[in-house]
Amino acid sequence: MPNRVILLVEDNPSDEALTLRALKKHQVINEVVVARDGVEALDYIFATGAHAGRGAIPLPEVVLLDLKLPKVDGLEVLRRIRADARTRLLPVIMLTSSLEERDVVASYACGANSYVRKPVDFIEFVEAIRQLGLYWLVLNTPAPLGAEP
Amino acid sequence: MDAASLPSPLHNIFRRPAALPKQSPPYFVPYCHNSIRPVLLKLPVTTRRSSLTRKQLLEENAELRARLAEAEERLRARHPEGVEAAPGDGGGGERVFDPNERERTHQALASAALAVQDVTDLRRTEEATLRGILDATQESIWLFSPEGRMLMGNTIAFQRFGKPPADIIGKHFNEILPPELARTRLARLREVVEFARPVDFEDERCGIFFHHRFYPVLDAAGQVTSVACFSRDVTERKRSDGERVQLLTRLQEQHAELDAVLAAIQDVVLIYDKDGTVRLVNRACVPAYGFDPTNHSLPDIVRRNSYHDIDGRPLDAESVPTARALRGESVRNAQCVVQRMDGAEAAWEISSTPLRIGGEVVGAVTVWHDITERQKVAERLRQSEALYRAIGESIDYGVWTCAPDGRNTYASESFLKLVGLTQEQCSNFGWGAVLHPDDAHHTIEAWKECVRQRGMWDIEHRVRGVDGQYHAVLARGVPVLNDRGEIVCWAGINLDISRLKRAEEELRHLNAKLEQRVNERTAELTLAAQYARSLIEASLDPLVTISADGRITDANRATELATGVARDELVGSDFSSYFTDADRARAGYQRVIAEGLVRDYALTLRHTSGHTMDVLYNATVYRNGAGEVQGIFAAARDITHRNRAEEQLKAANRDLEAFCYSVSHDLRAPLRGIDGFSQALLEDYLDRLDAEGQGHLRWIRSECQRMGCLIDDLLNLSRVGRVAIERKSVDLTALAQEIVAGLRRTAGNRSVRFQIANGLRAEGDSHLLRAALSNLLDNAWKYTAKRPDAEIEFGSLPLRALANPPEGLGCPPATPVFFVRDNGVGFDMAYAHKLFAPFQRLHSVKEFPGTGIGLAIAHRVVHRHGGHIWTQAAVDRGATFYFVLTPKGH
Repeated sequence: MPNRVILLVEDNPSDEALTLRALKKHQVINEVVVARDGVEALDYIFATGAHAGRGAIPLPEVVLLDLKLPKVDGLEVLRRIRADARTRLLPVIMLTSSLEERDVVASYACGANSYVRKPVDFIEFVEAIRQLGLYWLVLNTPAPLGAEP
Repeated sequence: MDAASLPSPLHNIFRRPAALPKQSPPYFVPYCHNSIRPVLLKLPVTTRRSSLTRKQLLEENAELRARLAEAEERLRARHPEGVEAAPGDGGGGERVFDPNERERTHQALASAALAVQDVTDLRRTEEATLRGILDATQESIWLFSPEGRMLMGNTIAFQRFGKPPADIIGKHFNEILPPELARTRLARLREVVEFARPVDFEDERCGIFFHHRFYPVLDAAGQVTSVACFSRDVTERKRSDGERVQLLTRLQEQHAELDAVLAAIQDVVLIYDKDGTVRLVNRACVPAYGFDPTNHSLPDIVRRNSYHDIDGRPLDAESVPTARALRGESVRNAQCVVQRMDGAEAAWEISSTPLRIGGEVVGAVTVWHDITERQKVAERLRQSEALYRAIGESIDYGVWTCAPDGRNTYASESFLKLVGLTQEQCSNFGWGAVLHPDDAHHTIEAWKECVRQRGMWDIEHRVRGVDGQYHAVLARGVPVLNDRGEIVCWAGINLDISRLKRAEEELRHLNAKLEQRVNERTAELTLAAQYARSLIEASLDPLVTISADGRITDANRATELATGVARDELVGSDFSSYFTDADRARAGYQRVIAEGLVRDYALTLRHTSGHTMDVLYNATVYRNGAGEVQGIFAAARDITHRNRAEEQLKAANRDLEAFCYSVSHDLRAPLRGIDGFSQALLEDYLDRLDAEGQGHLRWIRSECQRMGCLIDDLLNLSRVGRVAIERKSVDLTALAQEIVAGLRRTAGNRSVRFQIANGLRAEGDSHLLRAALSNLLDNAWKYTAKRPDAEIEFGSLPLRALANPPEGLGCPPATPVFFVRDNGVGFDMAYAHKLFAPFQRLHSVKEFPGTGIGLAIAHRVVHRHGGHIWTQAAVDRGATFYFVLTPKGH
């Protein structure tokens, strides 16, 4: 089974670059698809808009979702993912700068699988990404695709 | 007093009846009242002296017997056929009343008679003796033959018989006695002869009563040879026996009378014997004494019941009336108070009279008359009189009484003194003279008329006192009538009403003054009202008064401005109609009426133009002098501006929130970029950078990270200020233990001795308290880093135990003060004021890392709890952070 993509939803180019660099540094071989706002992310996941007619490609292995996004924010993206039977079990990791309690609580309330704060220290950031990759891409057994709970 | 003068039949009992025969056996009353018997028995009885004589007689008799026996022996030896008796005179002697003795004497005499009969040869020598013996008795002594012939007699016998011996001796009874007498005596004689025993009987001859004893004279063979007769004149005794029966009957009657009299008497009657022992009491006695005193002695009675004279002096057994009577004194109506053993007390009038027999006191009669009631009545009367007198004297001019004819009979002392009259003068219409000349005629005429009409007396006049002043007197009186409607007297009072008159005058004066003052006060009040009105009008707050039913009763200018309605229209209109929420307005003034006041009651006033004004009402009921609610006073404060400011504050807070959120998300991202790309440079272009370039990049990274920390700390601080506090009981001990465990985990290689007191609890927000405590412990942990024997303590002590608590805490002495104490590097107290400000540090970052936000957070948390935090420290001597959480005023 080919490795499924990682969907990185990030509007900040430097964060995007750094995240990709961190993933690369840790030999994450999965293709990383970057969506730069909430709409793009949703279009990718649900094959709508720009991605309409893309056909039935597999869902991402994992979604790394920033909270603060243009157009549709991260929480709304998450809400829609969880609202759709097809994507209800899709692992979504909040990857964001904020450590505001309300963000953390709201994320988990909307069904985030994990909440990771992006540290300022790049080395720490890389470490966080490494652990994320290790966990979600290696250790974690994802729910079978299309499974109904 | 002689017993004979007693008006009672008693004296007969005690007086020795003179008529009783002297020769009666020892004085003996066969029937008498039992209670009197002991008295009688103790009476002196002269007959008892006979005992001496009796003794002599016995001796004499014994001697006689001896001699007779001797003579008899000799006679038998010489003349067995008998002797002839010869009578002879003998001397007198004491009478013997003992019947036995008499018997013996008779026997002796019988023997003697026999002896006389036989002893013929001794006649000469013993005749005189025998004669003496025979004549020694006053009894007639005869000797009869068994057939009834007179053989011999003694002198007295012949004398009594009234015939010389020659006419008697040898004669048969039938010859010398009347036939009837002869027959009875012969019968007796035959009885004696037949049965050889003595016979006693009595009969009467020629008006003389005789007691006879026929005594058989026996020979040696026991045959009756003759009969001796001893006859005694008992005429006197017979007579006295009759008298005695009469006396006894009389005595019995008297006893019955006495019993009846004693029973009928309500007074207590006691009869004492001369020793002071109660011998007789009547029925009334026992209830009075509380026991039956019969046979009790006077000392015993006085011991049982205590006696006092009327003045309360105790009386002993020697001084009670009875004791005095027993000493011969006749006590009349001595008043005593007797308290019985059971405590009951009564007043008595006691009379006691000695009983005398022949001048000798033999007892006493005591009569008690109960005067308790009389005393009570007398006392009541005394009190009543005293009361009326006191009343009379206490009234100015007092009371008076007049005879039915109008003449004064009594005027109270106070009147007499005041007008300088004596009672006598007053009784002679002297009171007319002290009347005011203008009143005198009228008063006197009116009084005469009143007496004539038997009407009510009611007049006002002036009376001249000794001081020369005239006093206004109100005289009132009524006729006192008896059962038949006749006037017994007039009784009335005089009242000094001059004071009343003066008071009236003063009252008039006072009223005038009062009126003047009322006018003054009214003016003052008008002024005050104007002043108050001006104040009300000057108020920028809308002020209204509302009646209990919600109508506006008054309003100021500000109200007019706020509503756009003129005062005239406001007054009388419905208060609630000027608000956007009329129901809430109504509820507001109803609450004022129910609770007395409301504070800061929010309403919105509506102007006629449609503008609204947010107001807070403070309203209170107002009452009249009697405390009744008159209405509501309501003052509105325009808070439109305040509400606007609050809105602005809220908006600012929202902005701040957004700012913080933005900072949280966006400010860190560039830093992360700088840091990340610096690192990328270091990683990818290390070989093209010299050491200085690499150093700069590391500096860049280090600064980025520090800024990240600063941003985080700032956010934390701002969060502490923003979050709502949820108060609940927090286990600070457990919290501290968790925090310490965390510290040990992150820096496990340090050896720090933590001492955390048990059971520390506080009311507060657990998250904020955790933040505060965490920062304080962190702080302590950090500044003890250089101590090998680091010690950190978390505990609490009551405020009163603190040596130098900060001023103005406003907490009770028992308030717990929590503290975190360390033995770290401490600090100079000169900089203590900087300690809690954000980003203020007393040490360099190099020395101790940190942003300087931790204590600011602790400070903010404590303050948000209404508490206070302070510190005590010295350089190199450790630091102690104290905080109280109990809010001021709670």
